[in-house]
Amino acid sequence: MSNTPNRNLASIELDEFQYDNKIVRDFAIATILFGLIGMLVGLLAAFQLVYPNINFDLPFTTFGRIRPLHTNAVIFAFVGNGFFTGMYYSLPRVLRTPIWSASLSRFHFWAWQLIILGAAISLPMGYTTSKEYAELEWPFDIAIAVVWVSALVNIIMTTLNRRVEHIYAAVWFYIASFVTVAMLHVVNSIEIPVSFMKSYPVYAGVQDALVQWWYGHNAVAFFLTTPYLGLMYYFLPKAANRPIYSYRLSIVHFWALIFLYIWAGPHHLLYTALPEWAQTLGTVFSIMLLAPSWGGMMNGLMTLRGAWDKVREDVVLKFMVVAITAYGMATFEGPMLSLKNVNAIAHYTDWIVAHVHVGALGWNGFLTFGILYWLFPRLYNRPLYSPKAANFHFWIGTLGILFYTIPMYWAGWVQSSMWQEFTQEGLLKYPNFLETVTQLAPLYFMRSLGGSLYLIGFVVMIYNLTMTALNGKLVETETARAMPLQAIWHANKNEYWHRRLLERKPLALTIFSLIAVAIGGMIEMIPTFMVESNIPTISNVKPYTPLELQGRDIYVREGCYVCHTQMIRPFRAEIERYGEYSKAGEFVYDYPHQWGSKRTGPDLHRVGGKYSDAWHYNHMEDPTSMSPGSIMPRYGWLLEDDLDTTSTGPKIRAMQKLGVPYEKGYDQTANMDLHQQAVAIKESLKDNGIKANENKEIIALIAYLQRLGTDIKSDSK
Amino acid sequence: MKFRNYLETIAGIEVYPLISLVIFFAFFIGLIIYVFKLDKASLDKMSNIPLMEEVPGKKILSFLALFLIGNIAWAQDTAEKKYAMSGNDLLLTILLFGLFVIIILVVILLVDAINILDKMAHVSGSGKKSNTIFTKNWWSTFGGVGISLSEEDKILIKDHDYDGIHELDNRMPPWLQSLFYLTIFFAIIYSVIYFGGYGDLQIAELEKEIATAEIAKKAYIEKVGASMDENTVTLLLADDPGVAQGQTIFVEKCAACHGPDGGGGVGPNLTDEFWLHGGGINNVFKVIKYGVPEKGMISWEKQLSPTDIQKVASFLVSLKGTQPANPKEPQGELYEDGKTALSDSTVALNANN
Repeated sequence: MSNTPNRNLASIELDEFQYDNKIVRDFAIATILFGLIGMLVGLLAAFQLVYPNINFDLPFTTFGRIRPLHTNAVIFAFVGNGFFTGMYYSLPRVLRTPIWSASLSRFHFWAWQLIILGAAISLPMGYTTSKEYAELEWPFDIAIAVVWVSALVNIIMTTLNRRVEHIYAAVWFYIASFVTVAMLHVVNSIEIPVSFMKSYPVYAGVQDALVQWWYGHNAVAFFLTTPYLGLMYYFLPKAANRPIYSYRLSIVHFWALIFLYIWAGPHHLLYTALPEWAQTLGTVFSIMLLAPSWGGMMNGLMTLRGAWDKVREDVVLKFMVVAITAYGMATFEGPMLSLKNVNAIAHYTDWIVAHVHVGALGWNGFLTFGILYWLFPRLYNRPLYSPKAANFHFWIGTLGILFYTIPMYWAGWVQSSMWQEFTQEGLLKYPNFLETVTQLAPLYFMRSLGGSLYLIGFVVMIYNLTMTALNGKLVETETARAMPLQAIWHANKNEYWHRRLLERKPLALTIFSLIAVAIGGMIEMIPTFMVESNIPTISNVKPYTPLELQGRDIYVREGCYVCHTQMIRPFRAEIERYGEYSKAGEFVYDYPHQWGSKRTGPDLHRVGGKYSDAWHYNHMEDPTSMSPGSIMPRYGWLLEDDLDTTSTGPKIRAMQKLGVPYEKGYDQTANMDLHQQAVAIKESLKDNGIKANENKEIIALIAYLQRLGTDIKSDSK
Repeated sequence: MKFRNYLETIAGIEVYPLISLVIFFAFFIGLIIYVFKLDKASLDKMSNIPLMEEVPGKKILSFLALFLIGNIAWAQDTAEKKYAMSGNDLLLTILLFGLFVIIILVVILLVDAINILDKMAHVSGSGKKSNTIFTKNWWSTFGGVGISLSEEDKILIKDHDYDGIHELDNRMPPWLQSLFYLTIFFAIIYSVIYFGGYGDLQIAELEKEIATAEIAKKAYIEKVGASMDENTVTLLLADDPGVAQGQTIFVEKCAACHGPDGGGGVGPNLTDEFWLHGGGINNVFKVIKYGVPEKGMISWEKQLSPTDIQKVASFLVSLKGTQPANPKEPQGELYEDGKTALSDSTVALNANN
């Protein structure tokens, strides 16, 4: 019995200790602040799809740069800080001990906010690795790893110093999240620095895509899901004042969830050039994820059994119920989307955008709001300033989610149908990609309205919480008393093995959860890296020329991958529209891969040679001149800015280190080739009456675009 | 696998096989209900009836053996035909599986309903314990609420207290557990299909898709006679409505490069008598169809039908001699009508590819 004294000890002295509420308050403020910024940026991006002009023709505010800012801000700044808020409050309380090191907590807080600040500056400036949800460049990657591991140490040490025998489920989720994210981050971010703020990943093409989506999927799993399940296990029973429905269910769903989740990454790459055995693994493990995910939902909803009358009145519980329901919906949709035939429809469309926002706005957003409304009155020792305003927030937020997701599901379905529709003559019914985009404008507009409603609710919450804080006084520390662990430790031999082995031993728990999450990744990645037949070589595929390489880095910098894929799936409709389907061997020199995940614009894998140099030049200057009605931003600065050729040498050397077969010493002469190719493009533009200087960035980008997907064409001639 | 062919027939002739399936299941439902409703005593009596006068085990064994042999023969039969499964088949299988689940649910509900009726009939009788399976209690247990709120104390885990949070020792709700087993079962079947080489890999799937589409396309073109190429194309006369339609297409798709009135821009002037790749309906048709990618003219073969290309080409030919607002300087060679030259090498090269 964790709270009854061990009989062998005669007299027990209670330890007295303090819970630190200041760190909780600080993280809460950061959550709110960065939530506001992240959502505002999201709203700007959403409106840009309807009114492209509101990027003001500035490089820093183009869609390709602020979309990663939006995702990074809401995932790592809003949800991340939300997780830390709840964790620093609940962890010491369920373990009956203060956080092990207050200075490590402080370090965690300030370093994390500094990294976010760095992201908010560097991403709009175009410093990006282009790996989705891991766009930050290498100096930040190192900083994140340091902060993350130091926080992990702090948590484990706190757990070791606990005053309860048995570790509560919430803590399992916290530890597993920290361990797994550390692993994901380190493996995904192995890169070779070229210069300060520029690096190449060590993986190319197919391998890079596999690692990236192993990371990307599990960032969702272990940054947005498991930490929040941990929070649910604390704040829901606290708010409802009910016992957790099933301890056994929490064991089953915790271990099943973390073990199965890690395998599911390849479902982001169905019908791509990824080896099909890996795709199949991704699908079957996604299907098996359904019940463990719903286990979390059930344990949440069933905990409310006998408390549903409270749900009607308590706004905190209302938020939590909608959050858990949204979690259930998203985790049902996920496995369905990993079925090949459903994925063929939904992938690359706004359906996926709707799916993730059910999770982000519903599950993460609403759970955060519920926790904040519960927490602030306790931190400031006074009732919530206005329960009425909180209710308003709940309803307008729910409405916002509906207005956001329904048009997006619709848009995804409409666009996908238009992509695949043929006429009886066997031609695409909508051969012009743009037609399928302009069709969506009203839906994009409604989505933006939905986002605005959600944001209005958020602002109301800020006001409500601020007033609560101003009218109260921060309870900086709370004193608690408990018996030391030695006094209550019962070495019970008849205990279940999982209790003896895992739930009493934080280090064993940590190691076993690391093993559970490592297995899936290794089984998928090692063969893809080692077995050559997985990526059949194509002899025509040659390394990029120096100019193309520079152009490629501009493509990366501008975030073109945000709207354009480079992966033609083997469907009749895609072959008809874009050309031959993409093959694994074509990407062997792509550091990093640019497959993308969303087609707001057409696929570009075979755009090389499709249009003239002049077309691209005009199109970059003003897309609507070549495609009237286009919502692509203007890239005027590419026509004005000089290409930085001093970086060519280091880039070639980095590529050589990665195994790209440039001749020895090529880094010295590469710029001569670069110049020669640039002059040729300049001449071709001149023939079409365009006067351009050969040292402009646009020339390099054109060179890259004209090269795309052409290697296998030279095969047929 | 023959089962699959049956599925196809079901998809083909709609309701009849489905009805037979329902009748088939209804029979089993009846049987199951009958068995459940039987008294335990009569069940024991039945199981004591000897199958044959001689040793019953032998007969059963021989029957089983026959069944197994039949099965093996059946397996050999299928081994010759490579089983392939397309996305549609998979969908059909899933639908059928869904139907199966629904039928099972209906069975359960029916049995349940009969139980309730039974109880209502026996309401006056003594508190005889029900000997059927799907009682109300069974349902609450299945749903995970078998233990009522008032009895909750019994399953409260005593030594679990985390900042006032307690835990109950409910079992994993059986419906969720079944769902978990079901998904694992699905995963195994799916893996067997795709790792075992039964399911079409994505390239095979693509080849089938294209083959089917080609047949449909051919049938359609034969039906309407819309096949036309650069050699057989004819010029539409200026008063033909097709020329006006050609203009609409031109403004929509070509004006970005050639100007709204054909005066040229990125692309050449189309109103003068000079042509880079030959004038006349045949050459213009050919250039539109295959494009001249080296010079920036894209191929429209995949976007415009042959009749549409004919309309645009006819419209272009009709432009000759018009006065565009900002004409681009003439490019290429002077082309005279009647000189039926399909000689341009760049276009021919593309046509061959």
